Amino acid sequence: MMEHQATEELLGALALGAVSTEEWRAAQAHFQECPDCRDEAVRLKAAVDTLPIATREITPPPALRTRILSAISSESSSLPVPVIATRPAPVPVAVRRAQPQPFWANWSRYAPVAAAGASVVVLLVLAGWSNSVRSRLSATEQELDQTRALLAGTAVGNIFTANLRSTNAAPSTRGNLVYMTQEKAGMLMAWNMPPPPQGMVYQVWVQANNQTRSLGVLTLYPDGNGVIYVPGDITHIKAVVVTLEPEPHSPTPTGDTVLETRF
Amino acid sequence: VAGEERDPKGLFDGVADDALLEAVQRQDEAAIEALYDRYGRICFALAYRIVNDYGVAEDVVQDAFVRVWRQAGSYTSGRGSVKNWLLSIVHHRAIDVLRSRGDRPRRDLPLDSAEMMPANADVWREVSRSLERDTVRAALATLPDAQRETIELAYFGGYTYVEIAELMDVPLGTVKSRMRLGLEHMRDFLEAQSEEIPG
Repeated sequence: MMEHQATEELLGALALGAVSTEEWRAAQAHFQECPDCRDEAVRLKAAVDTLPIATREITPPPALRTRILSAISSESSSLPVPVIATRPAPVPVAVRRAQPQPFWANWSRYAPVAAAGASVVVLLVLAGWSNSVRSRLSATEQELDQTRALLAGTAVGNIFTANLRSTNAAPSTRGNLVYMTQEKAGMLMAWNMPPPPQGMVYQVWVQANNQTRSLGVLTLYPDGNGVIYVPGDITHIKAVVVTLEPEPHSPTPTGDTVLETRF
Repeated sequence: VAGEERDPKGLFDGVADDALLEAVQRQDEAAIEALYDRYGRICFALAYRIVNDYGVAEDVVQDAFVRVWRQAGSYTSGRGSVKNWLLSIVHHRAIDVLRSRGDRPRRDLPLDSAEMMPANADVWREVSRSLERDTVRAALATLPDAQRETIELAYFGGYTYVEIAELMDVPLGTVKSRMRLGLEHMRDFLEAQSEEIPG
């Protein structure tokens, strides 16, 4: 730690950042114990912060703006955005641009269901995938509530969830999509699915860039719950839809929509 | 101004800097665009003042804004204004570039001296927001030449006080004293320009 007098003499240089790394660290340690030095350093730093204002204004080349926004767009399309823990937007949602964004970029509005979705994932991981899926999917609301409470206050991390809305075709159904951005994998779970008519199945689709891709047929259990694994990068999807289709599956959605969510 | 759309939708007009940065934290590209439109000119001016090269200054400013995009979450309002935080990132990056050009060793100082900032910002923050260029230049002009040159060598030249002592061929203590006295005088001068600051 730097001694008081040495620090005091160096305060101007510290405020300007004109010191060695070692001196900087020693001064920081001294500031922890010497509020007088710290306060004076803050006062001097305030003067330093005005120095950029003294520079002669220069209009940057127009291309710089384009370059920066392009670089940031590239970042947006490659980095997952953990928005669940962020604060509510102080500006209108409408300001969001039309450029592709990860689908979870708009999921802050689904934050209330995030904990529940994460809870289900944790349950599945803990219990193992194959044998316990069925029993876990048939977990009652009470079980989910208990798990949600268990996880209260725990960071959701890179797990993003969205609820799927039911339609008039099957108003009592519910669904959750849970996606882990680092693993680039997730699953869709559905509850209270009515038994499909003879020769029909529930098929799951993702939509992106005006294209619809099948994720496959929902594995349905006798208790009316269903699940399907969601592999790969689904970063820029615009919607997830579950429809009723003829067996074994359909190349394109043709039947009634049962569950859906749009981003 | 050509190339500066100035938030064409106007959705961030009147939005405080802190709220703008919160939108950047949520990865709202329109927000970082608005931030650039507010401060891109001064950032570029600072970078150019330090590196004295248009192309390099562009790179510095681009790096700074991309860093803001990635690390907006590291900003806390108690550590100073958004503008100062942004400028300190530009300054830090520009000095890095400057020192890497020559044979001067790079310095591994914290990005924005944040540890020195108080938990609760004082009224000086409000004053500094409204400062005009002419006022700051006037403050610098009131300094004795030796103090002004010392401060400019340190801030715009990225020199340490030890290096400045060698350059100016004066004792270390003289450089340290010039830095502190010069900054104190600047602050006193600027405070006196503001009615909000007593004395």
